[in-house]
Amino acid sequence: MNPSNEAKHDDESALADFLSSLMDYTPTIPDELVEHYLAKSGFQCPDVRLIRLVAVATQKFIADVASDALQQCKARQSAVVKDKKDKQQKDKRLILTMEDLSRALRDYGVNMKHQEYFADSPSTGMDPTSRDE
Amino acid sequence: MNSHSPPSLHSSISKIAVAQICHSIGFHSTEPFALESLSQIATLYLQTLARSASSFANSSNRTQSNLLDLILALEHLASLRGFPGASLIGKPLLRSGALRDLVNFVESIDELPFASQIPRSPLKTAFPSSLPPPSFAELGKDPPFAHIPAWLPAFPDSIRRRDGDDRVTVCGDGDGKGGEELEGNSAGVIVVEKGERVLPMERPRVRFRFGLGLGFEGMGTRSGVCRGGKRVCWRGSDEEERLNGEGCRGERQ
Repeated sequence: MNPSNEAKHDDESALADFLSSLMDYTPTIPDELVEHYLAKSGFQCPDVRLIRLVAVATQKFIADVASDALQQCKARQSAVVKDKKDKQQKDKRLILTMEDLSRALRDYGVNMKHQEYFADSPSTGMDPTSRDE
Repeated sequence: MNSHSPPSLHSSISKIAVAQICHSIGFHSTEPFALESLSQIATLYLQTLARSASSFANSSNRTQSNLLDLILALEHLASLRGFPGASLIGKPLLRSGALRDLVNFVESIDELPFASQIPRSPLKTAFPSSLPPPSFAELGKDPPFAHIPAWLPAFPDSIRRRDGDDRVTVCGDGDGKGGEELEGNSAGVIVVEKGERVLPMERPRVRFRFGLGLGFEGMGTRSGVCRGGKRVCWRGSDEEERLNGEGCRGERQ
């Protein structure tokens, strides 16, 4: 009984330390943005620490998704590089693409389909012959 | 691309923040559509988290969410992928695995503040949302009009209104004078006593004559539909009549 109580106490003090450390922590997602969306969703809380906690949770989610996409990107590039060894230097740039992103998001329960014809740039998906005209 | 409505400030800010996170992960650049989608997903995640935390608070008869509601919401959102200790039912909420993951995450990454300062909107600083303005009942004043219940927030000491000219209307300072101090302005109404209103000046009378307009000069309006001699007319001043007459003649010619 005693050791478990102590462990519990340790956990709670660690949690309290973490929460108080959030007072000085600046998340990447700014407080103003988080407050706006919290107010929009009916979340009321005057405590800054909870607002920061929400910001940190969102940051963690995005970072997880982005690092998954990065792994996808690297895996795809290494597969390409196996085929063409000479292009290794050229393909080293890591670019977040819709393909990697939607593959990473599928693990998080987000099904995203990117319509090819909703072009990122005016020239995307255009037939080269028609573009010449 | 130009057919899109201009992006709001919130979406632009979240885009920058997401781009910063992606850069810190190790990406060099992103496709614009991918960044847009990811920042949209970030705001959706945030809103889902907030909505679920507030619904947990509401279901335990509170309006303000606390840490436990937020942990429950975090577990709710993390349950899709799973988190350590998710299967243990009797585990105390403060030792939740989802929260432990979050603590580890914060300890493992470098602090990366947002790229620029965001100015607070001036409205928010003028009226702090935590302090609603006091009601009539709290101030111990009677509302200036009978139809305003006492629990509504009191009027500010002076309501200033500009109607083109610089006449300032003072209304309801609450110390018994009510609306009696209203000064006349040409566009509005003077309140003489509570509830009674008079027009600021005698208005000129207007005269109309209804007719079909296609009648010939001699037949006038008594032809066609208006045979019954239906006529609407207010006795007006001579000037008005003359103007009206001219207008009608102009139309017929």
